[in-house]
Amino acid sequence: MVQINAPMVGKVLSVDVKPGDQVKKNDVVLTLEAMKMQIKVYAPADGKVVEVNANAGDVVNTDTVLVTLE
Amino acid sequence: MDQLWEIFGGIGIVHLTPGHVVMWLIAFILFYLAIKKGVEPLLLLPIGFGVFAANFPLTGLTEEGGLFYIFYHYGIETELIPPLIFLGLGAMTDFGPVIANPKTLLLGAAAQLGVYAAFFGALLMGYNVAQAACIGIIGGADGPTSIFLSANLAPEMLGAVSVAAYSYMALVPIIIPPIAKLLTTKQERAMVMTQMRMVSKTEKIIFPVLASVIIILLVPKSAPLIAMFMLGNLFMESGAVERLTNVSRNELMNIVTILLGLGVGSTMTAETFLTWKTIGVFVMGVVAFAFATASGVLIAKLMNLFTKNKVNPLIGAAGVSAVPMAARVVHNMGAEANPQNYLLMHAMGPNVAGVIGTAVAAGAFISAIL
Repeated sequence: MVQINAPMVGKVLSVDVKPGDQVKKNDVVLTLEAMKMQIKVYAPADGKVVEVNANAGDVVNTDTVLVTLE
Repeated sequence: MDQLWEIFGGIGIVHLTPGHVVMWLIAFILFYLAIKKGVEPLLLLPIGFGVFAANFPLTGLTEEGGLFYIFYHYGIETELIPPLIFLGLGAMTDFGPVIANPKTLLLGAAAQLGVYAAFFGALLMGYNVAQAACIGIIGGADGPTSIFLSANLAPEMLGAVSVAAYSYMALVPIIIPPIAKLLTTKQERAMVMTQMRMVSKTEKIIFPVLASVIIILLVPKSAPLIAMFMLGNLFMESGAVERLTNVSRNELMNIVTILLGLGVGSTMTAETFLTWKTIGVFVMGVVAFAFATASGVLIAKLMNLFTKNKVNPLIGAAGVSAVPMAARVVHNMGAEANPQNYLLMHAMGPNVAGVIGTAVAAGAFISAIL
């Protein structure tokens, strides 16, 4: 299991994966907005998305697990 | 003949000089940059129009009692507006990254070495001490501070210094990357920093008060800028005065920005602006900026030699203020070297520390020179 936390406080602009998707390392899983900048959050490893805990518009913190991979 | 002059002497066009027209062209360039290129439009548009309108003959706008004179004299010469802008900036600044990693304060200070490098460079080029200080401060990449210092030390340079400062700030995405790349390896740029700790609300409330005590005691002349900056920050972090926070960073800031832009622009008349010294300001401004970026990166590398918790040296480049653009540029450079690298918040530390550093450098110049 690999948990992807928000790298910083920010607002979720879009969630780019859904449960069941296969992702490769450095694929975009989610886009955040912080400091008026769009920040893409990349998958740290290959895997299958098992859980997505964020929706567009959510404000997330560094302790928020955004996506879980297995 | 005398009668003809009496009739037509009051018409502006008779008094128009080539200098006026050249200044209009400069104003048009500023309009173009602001409107078409999106270069700091909130400032360059009013500054540009100030330049344009101040360069008509016989208007009296910039003479004692004239409208622009009033903006300049009461807003800038009395040093009223830059601190009011700092109030708004304080109400927008999150000191969290600095509190979580106080080492970054040093990086914000390191970038000010560029200010001093350009200061000595300008002295060698024949500027007097006060003028050299104003040129050096451009390296701090902070508009209100540059205006504050010039109004204090060398009002004749105010227009050139502020336009140079705002133009170069807009060029941060072009100036920082080549310098930062030259001084770092790809491996260094790819370095991921450890996650920052969460900062409590109490810490964020104590910070502006404690920082005021330390900074103002050390450099009393930085008080107008620092006190207002920290007040704005306390407004925001206390959460108790939402109305004051909002008015500081929105309405008040917008209103004084218009007065500041017009006041600064109106100082740029043909006689004062079209000189070799102005060109020198622009040349040395880039030098100041480049040195500031380089010293931030190099001090970050030096710091890494002595500390266990290493920093990505790129964040040193964010020590030139230009908040938050410098931090964004640094983030993008880090992500380019390694997509898993999220430097934005780490870079915000030196970035906001740079604002404080520049205000302190300005205060130090004022107390040393006046």
